[in-house]
Amino acid sequence: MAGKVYRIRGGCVLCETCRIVCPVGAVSIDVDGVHIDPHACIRCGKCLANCPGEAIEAAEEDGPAKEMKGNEE
Amino acid sequence: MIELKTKRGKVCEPARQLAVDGEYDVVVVGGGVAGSAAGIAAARMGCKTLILERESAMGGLATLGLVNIPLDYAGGIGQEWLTALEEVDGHWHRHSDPEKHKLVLDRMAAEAGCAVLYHTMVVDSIVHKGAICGVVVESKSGRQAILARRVVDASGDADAAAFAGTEFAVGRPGDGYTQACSLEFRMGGVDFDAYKASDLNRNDPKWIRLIAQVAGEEWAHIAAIDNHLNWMTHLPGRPQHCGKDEVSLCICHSRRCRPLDNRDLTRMYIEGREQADAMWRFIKAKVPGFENCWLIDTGTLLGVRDSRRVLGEYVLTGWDIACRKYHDDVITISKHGYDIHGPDAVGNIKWIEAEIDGKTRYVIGNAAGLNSSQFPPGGKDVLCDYQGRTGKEMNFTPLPFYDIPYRSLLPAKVDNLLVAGRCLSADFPAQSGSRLILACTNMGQAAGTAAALSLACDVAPRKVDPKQLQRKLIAAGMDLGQTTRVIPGLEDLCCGKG
Ligand SMILES: Cc1cc2nc3c(=O)[nH]c(=O)nc-3n(C[C@H](O)[C@H](O)[C@H](O)COP(=O)(O)OP(=O)(O)OC[C@H]3O[C@@H](n4cnc5c(N)ncnc54)[C@H](O)[C@@H]3O)c2cc1C
Ligand code: SF4
Ligand code: SF4
Repeated sequence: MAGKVYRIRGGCVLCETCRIVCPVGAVSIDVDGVHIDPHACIRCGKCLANCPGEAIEAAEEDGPAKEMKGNEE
Repeated sequence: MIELKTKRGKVCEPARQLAVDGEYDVVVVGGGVAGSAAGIAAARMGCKTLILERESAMGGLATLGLVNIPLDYAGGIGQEWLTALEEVDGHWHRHSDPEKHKLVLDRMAAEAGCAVLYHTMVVDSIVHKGAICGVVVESKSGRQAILARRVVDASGDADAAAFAGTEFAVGRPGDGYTQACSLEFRMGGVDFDAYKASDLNRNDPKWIRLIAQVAGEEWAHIAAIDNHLNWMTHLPGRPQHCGKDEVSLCICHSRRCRPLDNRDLTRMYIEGREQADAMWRFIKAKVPGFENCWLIDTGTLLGVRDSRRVLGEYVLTGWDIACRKYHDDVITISKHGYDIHGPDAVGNIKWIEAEIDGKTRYVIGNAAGLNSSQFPPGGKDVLCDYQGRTGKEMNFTPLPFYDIPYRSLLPAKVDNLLVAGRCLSADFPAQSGSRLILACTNMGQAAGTAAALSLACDVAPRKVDPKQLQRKLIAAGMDLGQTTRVIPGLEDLCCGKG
C-alpha cells in the first residue's frame, strides 16, 4: 500500500490502545513489544492518534522498531 | 438545631421526618465517568433519572482528579464523549482536557434529559423488604429523601450500597490497605518539544535513573515517594510548540491508605500537596524543558484507585483476567491487566500468585505485566503467563481481552441496586485491572441500561435477561468483543469465530 508506514519509535508503555483501536487487526503485542503488520495496515492513523505514549510515527519508509518505556496507568 | 442529649458518650439525634425532594425511576449516586454514563443511558431509555454528585462537576477522578488518560475500549457513551472532546480540541493521544470534559458531560446529560444535582451528598440509603427504594441526601437545602425505583451506585466508594447493607471488601487481604492514592498536579510553562528531544526522555523516560541518582542528594525525599514517574500527559488545546505547554503528572503518592476515613483522607491531601510542591521544584531544577515551568494546581479529588469493592453475584478475579475467562453475561471487555500501585512501598505489582501444576507461580495479566517495578522472589524472570510459560514463550491470546460480567454489577444481597465503576464486585488484583476510565464508563452505561430494562420488563435487575441487555448495549455502540468471538445467544450480531 502506498503512503506512510506506521511504526513504533519509542515511548511505548504496552498499554494496548493501538491494538484495540486498529480497525483491521494489524497490531499485535507480545513480550517483545508492539508490532504493526505493514501488509495488513490500511494507514488510517488511528493507532497514532490514540497512543498515549506518542510512541507511533508515520514514517516514509519501514525501519527497525525501537523499544522504550514511558507512561503507565 | 438539636438539643444536646448524650447516651454512653454518644450524642443522640432525635427521629425526624424528611421532606421528599422527588421520585425518580433511576437515581445514580455519584457523577464520575461511571455515574454520568449510567444516568445518560437510563434517561435515553425514557427513565426519569437523577444523578446525585457531591462535587461541583461530573467526571469524578477523570476531571476533578486530573486523571486525564481515558484508556480501554471506547464504545457507546465513552466514544461519544471522546468524539465530543475532539470537536472542542479537548482530546489527543488519549490525553483529555479535564475542564472541557466537565462541559461535555454536562451537555450530554442535558441532551439526554438526565437531571443532575451538584453539591448533594448521599448519606444514607432507604431500604424496604430487602430492596433499595431511595437515598437520603444532604446539601445546602438540608437533609432530604429522594425516592427511586432503581439505584445505581457509582460513587466509587460504594457508599449507597454499603448504607443499604451490602457486603463489601476494602483493600488487600490482611491489612486492608488500598493501593497507593495519588494526588495529580498540573504544570504550565513547559517546553515539551525540548523535553521530548532531551536525552532524559530518550534514555530514561520514566525517570528511574534520574530519581535513583538524586536519592543521596538534597532531593532524597523525592526518591522516597516513588522510584519512577507514573505518567505525564500533555494537555490538548493549548498552543503547541511555543514553549508554554501544560502537562499533568502522576508522581505524588500516599501509602498505607484508608480512603474511607476522613482523617486519613485529610492526611493524604496535605501530604499530596506537600509532595507536589517538592516535585515541581525538583522537576524544574532537573528536567530539561521544565526550566521555566510553574505549578498550576493539584487535583480537587485525591486519586483513590480503590476502596469498597461490593460483594456481588460474581466476584471477578485476577485469575479470570490472566486466563481471559469468558462470561456468558459479559457487559463490557477490558484489555488492562492487574496493576497494583504499592500499598505500602514504592513501585507497581503487575503479577498475582497462583498455583499452576501444583507449584506457586507469578502470573502476569498481559505484556504490560513485564513493566512491574516490584518483582516477586526470583525477579522478573520468574513471571509467567496463565499457562506457566515464561520469557519469549509467553502468550496472551486467544482472546486479547477479558470480560466483565453483568453479575459483578449486582450486589449479592440488596435488590433494585446496581453498582458501576471502580467499586464493582472484584477481588483486589482484578479491581486494579478493570478500573480504567473507559471500563468504568462502559460499566456505567451497562448498569444504567440494565436499570431501565428492568423497569421496562418489570423485573428485578438480577432477573434481567443478559442477552436482551447485551443486544441493547451493542445497539448503543458498545464493544462486547462481538467482532472477535461468538457470544452464545448473539450469533447473529457476532462475526468472530469463537
Ligand atoms: C492516580 C490515578 C491514576 C489513574 N490512571 C489512569 C489512567 O491512566 N487511565 C485510565 O483510564 N484510568 C486511570 N485511573 C483509573 C480511573 O481514573 C478511575 O478508576 C475511574 O475514573 C473511576 O471512575 P468512577 O466513575 O468509577 O469513580 P470516581 O471517578 O471516583 O467517581 C465517583 C463520583 O462519585 C462522587 N461521590 C462519591 N461519594 C458520593 C456520595 N456519597 N454522594 C454523592 N456523590 C458521591 C464523587 O465525588 C465522584 O464524582 C487512575 C486512577 C487514579 C486514582
Ligand atoms: S504506548 Fe502506544 S504503541 Fe505502546 S501499546 Fe500504547 S498505544 Fe500502542
Ligand atoms: S494506521 Fe490504522 S490500520 Fe494501520 S496499524 Fe494503525 S490503526 Fe491499524
